[in-house]
Amino acid sequence: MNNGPILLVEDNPDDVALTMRAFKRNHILNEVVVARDGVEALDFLFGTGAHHGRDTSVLPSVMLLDLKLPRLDGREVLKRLRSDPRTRLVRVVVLTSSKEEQDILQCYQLGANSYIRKPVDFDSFMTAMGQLGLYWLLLNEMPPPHDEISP
Amino acid sequence: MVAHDARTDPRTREYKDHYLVPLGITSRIDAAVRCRGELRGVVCLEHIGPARTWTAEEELFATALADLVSLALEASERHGVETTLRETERRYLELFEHTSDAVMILAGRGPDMWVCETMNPACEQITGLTRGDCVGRNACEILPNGVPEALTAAFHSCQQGREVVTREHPLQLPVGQRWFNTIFVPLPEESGKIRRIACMARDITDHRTAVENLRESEQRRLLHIQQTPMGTIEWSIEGRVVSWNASAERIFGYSAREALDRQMNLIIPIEVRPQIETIWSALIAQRGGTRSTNQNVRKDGVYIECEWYNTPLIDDDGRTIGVASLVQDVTAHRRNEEFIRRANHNLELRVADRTTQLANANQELEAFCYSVSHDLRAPLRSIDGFSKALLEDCFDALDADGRDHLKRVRAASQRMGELIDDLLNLSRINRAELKRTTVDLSLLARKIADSLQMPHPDRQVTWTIAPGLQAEGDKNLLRVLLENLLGNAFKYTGRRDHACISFGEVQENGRTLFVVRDNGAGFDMTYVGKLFQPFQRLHRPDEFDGHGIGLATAQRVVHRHGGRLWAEGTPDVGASFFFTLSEPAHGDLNLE
Repeated sequence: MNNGPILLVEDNPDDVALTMRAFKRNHILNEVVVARDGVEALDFLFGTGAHHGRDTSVLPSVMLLDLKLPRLDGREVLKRLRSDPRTRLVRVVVLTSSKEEQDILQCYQLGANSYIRKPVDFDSFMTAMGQLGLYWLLLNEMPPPHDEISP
Repeated sequence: MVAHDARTDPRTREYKDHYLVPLGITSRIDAAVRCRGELRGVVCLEHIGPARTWTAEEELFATALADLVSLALEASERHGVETTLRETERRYLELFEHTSDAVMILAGRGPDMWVCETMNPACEQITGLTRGDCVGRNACEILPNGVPEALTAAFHSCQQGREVVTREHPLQLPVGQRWFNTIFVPLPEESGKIRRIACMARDITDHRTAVENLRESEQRRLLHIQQTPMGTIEWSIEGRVVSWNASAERIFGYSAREALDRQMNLIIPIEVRPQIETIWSALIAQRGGTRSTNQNVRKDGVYIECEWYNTPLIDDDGRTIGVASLVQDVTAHRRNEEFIRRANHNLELRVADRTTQLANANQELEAFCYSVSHDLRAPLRSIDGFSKALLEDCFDALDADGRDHLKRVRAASQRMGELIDDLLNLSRINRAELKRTTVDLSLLARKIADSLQMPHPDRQVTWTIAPGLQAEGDKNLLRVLLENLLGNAFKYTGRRDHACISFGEVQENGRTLFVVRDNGAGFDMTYVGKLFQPFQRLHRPDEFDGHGIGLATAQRVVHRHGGRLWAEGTPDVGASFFFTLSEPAHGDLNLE
């Protein structure tokens, strides 16, 4: 089990509440850090802004990223993440309403690890969250700390 | 002449002082030496001493001596003449043998009886007759068709008039008909009678043919020039009109009579004269100027635009002796071109404008769809999610009605989510890029049938899918089309104990229609128009569930391929859906 925090990048408070509920129902007890836009997400990852002074060696075990965000959108966050050696290996699950082909394709090209469309039906959403937790937090092996594999 | 006393004789006394006395001559005899009746000299006997009387013997002797000299002289001259004669004869024979003209000597042996005495090698070659064929035979017998009357007439005329006669005439020869220019030369005898005629014939057949061809081609050329819709004008080296055809009359308004010998400035406005002078000098120098388009002026003063094609006329020595021009009035043509060009330009502007509008509209649609996809679903998720939370967290606080209400709220929000997805799918059909390939429709239909049947193993459905159906189209879109049509058939046969669904092709008016048939619920043809409109349904949700989007989607797929989709149905019997994926270019567009 990866005990690192889950970084939830989501601007819709309803979705935040429902996601937290789904985590709880699925017995996912990791700390959930909520970033309400792309800038907050990057601040958390790089220890800047409101997260100044944070120990950035602690990376989220998984990051749930909405695409449509105020200020900096999800694609941009993904791009910055993948171009920085410190966050290159952070696992990103794009969690969004869109199922436009171009969005899906673009996200994978930018280095998303997974792409999940938020279903309207909360039961399906619950199932999806459960599976997501099971896979990314339980089954998947984390990469070793980044300084050990620095080029 | 006998002079006994020469000093007193009146015939000789004038020589007394200068000749007779100084030499002591007293008597003399002179006898004439003649040749061909002409006096050529004199034989003279002279006596010195006292005058004496000449005897008859002495006189006879002198005469005999003179005659002897005359005879010798005459003999010598005759020999010279004969030599010359032989020389001449030899020269004539040479000419006769080697001239390229056919020569035949004919000798008259009675009325219309002219026998060939001799003929030269050229005659043999030209006529194809040998000397053996001809010599000694009457001219009438020699030629296959005899001697033409005109020739006989020329013959008589030569004989009677004793003059050289020339005739141009055809002759039927063993080698075929040839044309000759023949000179008849009378050969008079010493008596002046004409018994022989020399015929000298020159074969002019090739020359005549060439002349004939030339005349014909000249006539044809003239005809063309007169008939051609292009103005045809010939200019002298000074730029004066030499010829001016009917079309030139029509183009410029001047008749040929008015234009002939006039300067070219007649039809050139002052403004363009420098330009024309440049062209003219280039033409004369044979350095181009063969094509030009310029303004000209008509007799009525109207300016016209003309296209000129010019050729310098060059003599054998390479000197330019004039110019031939073809000219066409292109004013109307230019005007039309300009009109079309402007119309095209406007059209292009309008197309560009519309394209921009369309691109903008598409962009807006794209943004709209994206927004629908993203933003419209978020509140639905909240409605559903929190209803569910309410049901879970406050289950006990809610009575049965309250729980039922919440369930309905959830069902409605989920249904709306599905509707949004359907709408997005429909719009995606329009936006997707069409990639045409050859698609195996039979295989596609088989896979779809399997995937429809799989979740319902209990349903009895006979699928009849014709093998080898192929079409040119976008595979993804065609899959959507068949999914909708076969899915519909599967859905509406849901109440049949034994359902039959088929996919095949039928031929109609020489084209192939694809058809999906079922024996399901069918529909009333009165409402066929509603069938393909989005969210229009012919059945209630409690009969058959659905959103009324499937056939609208199917129709969009077909339309995007340039085809047609239509349906036939009977309530409780079944339905057939026909489609094509391309329509004839000039087909009836009102069928939809």
